[in-house]
Amino acid sequence: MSVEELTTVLPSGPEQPGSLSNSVLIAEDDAMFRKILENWLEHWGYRVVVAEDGAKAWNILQQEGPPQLLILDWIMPGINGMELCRRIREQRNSPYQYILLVTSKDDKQDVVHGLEAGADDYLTKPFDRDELRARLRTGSRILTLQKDLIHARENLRFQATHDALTGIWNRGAIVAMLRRELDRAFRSQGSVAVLMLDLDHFKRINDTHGHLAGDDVLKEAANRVVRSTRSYDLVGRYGGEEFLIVLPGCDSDQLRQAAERIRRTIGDTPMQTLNSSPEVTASIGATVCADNNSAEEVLAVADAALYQAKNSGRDRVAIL
Amino acid sequence: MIPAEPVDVAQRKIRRSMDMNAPQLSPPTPTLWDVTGTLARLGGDPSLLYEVVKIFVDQAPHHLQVLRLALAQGDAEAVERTAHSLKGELGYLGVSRASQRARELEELGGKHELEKAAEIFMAFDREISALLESMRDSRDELSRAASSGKKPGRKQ
Repeated sequence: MSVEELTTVLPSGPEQPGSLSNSVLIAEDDAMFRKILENWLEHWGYRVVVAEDGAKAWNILQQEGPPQLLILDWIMPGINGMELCRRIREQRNSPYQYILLVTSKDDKQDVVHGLEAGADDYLTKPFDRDELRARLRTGSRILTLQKDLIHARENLRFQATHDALTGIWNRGAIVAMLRRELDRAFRSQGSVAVLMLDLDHFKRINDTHGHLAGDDVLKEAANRVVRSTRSYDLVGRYGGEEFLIVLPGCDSDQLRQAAERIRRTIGDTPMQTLNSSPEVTASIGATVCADNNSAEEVLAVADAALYQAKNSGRDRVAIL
Repeated sequence: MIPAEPVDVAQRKIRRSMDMNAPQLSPPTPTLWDVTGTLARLGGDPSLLYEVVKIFVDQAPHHLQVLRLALAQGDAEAVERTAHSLKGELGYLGVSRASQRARELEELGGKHELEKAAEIFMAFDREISALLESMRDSRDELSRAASSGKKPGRKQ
């Protein structure tokens, strides 16, 4: 997986624990069996959504956050269970939906076709209560397994793109996003400002107050920078005490003001560490991308500007 | 988990009602539906049994009417579909003979043999009518059993 893929923002809303593998869709046209299934499943603690035919089931499945455990009757007017199976699998939904197909006892051939169409398991009518419950547990188990894997993947995705100490983007991720913003700005003829921020005399802080205090300063500096930027600005840790800040849509007129605001957020009040409150300042080198600059070019200019800021006395902004 | 007494009462009542109906039925039906078996299949929940019987009693006349109309109009698919639904419901309620007839109707519908289906339907119609009557008779008993029975389900 590339860093570009890793840093794409996922449409994953807040996930309620247990909610996804716990809600069941019942698609059954027979009122009596619908009632039986609904009654049992509710007593077993599932959240139940019912559909009286295949078309209604399909509509429910198109909505936001559909049930992931599906009980589909084979024979229904309109869209039948097998057709529903096929459509669901064609969509290649993620997360995966577990399908339990219900067939009549004397239609054994249906089972083969149903499984081929994408059903995970089947149940024959008239269904047995204990068997249904056991088969639902199997489905839930697989969905829970899937949820755990997705959760683990999201954790890894976060770790792969974020700086462990400060929680902001790491170097790989922030540079990947800089590339993306430069491409976007070039296509839409917009602008992107890039700021390289370095904490002044950071080695002295480490030497005087210890490395733990140094870590606290880095964390607080990252927090302050994030708070002083807009929600769509990007802040990453570029090196030891060096931060890279990408401001999409910021042009040269606004750059000075934005950079000064960030510089002051570091230098105006002392940092708080466990045992000390060191005064820390920052030097910033900033630039606005010109047409079709590469990330390397923009970074080289920002780096040169930072060098200038350092050389002319630190705690200041230099723009190139 | 079956609350013994109320269901026994219901069964006795049903048997009695069947005895009363017996002379009018031709041929006489030994058992119309299997209360004990259905209740067991439903997990011993008398209130669910009541609801299920209510749904069946409410909807079966409609299904019969659809079947009758489909046979008259030569709509073999509707015969097959409706007989299929009835087959499943009757099977679940333990009405084995009527369920068997529904299966035959379904198959004949599938083969477009509607004349044969119409013959079977006559007997089927009579059986279902008798069944519905006995169910309606026992509905009060089932209702009482349902409301005096323990709150179903939560137990495993």
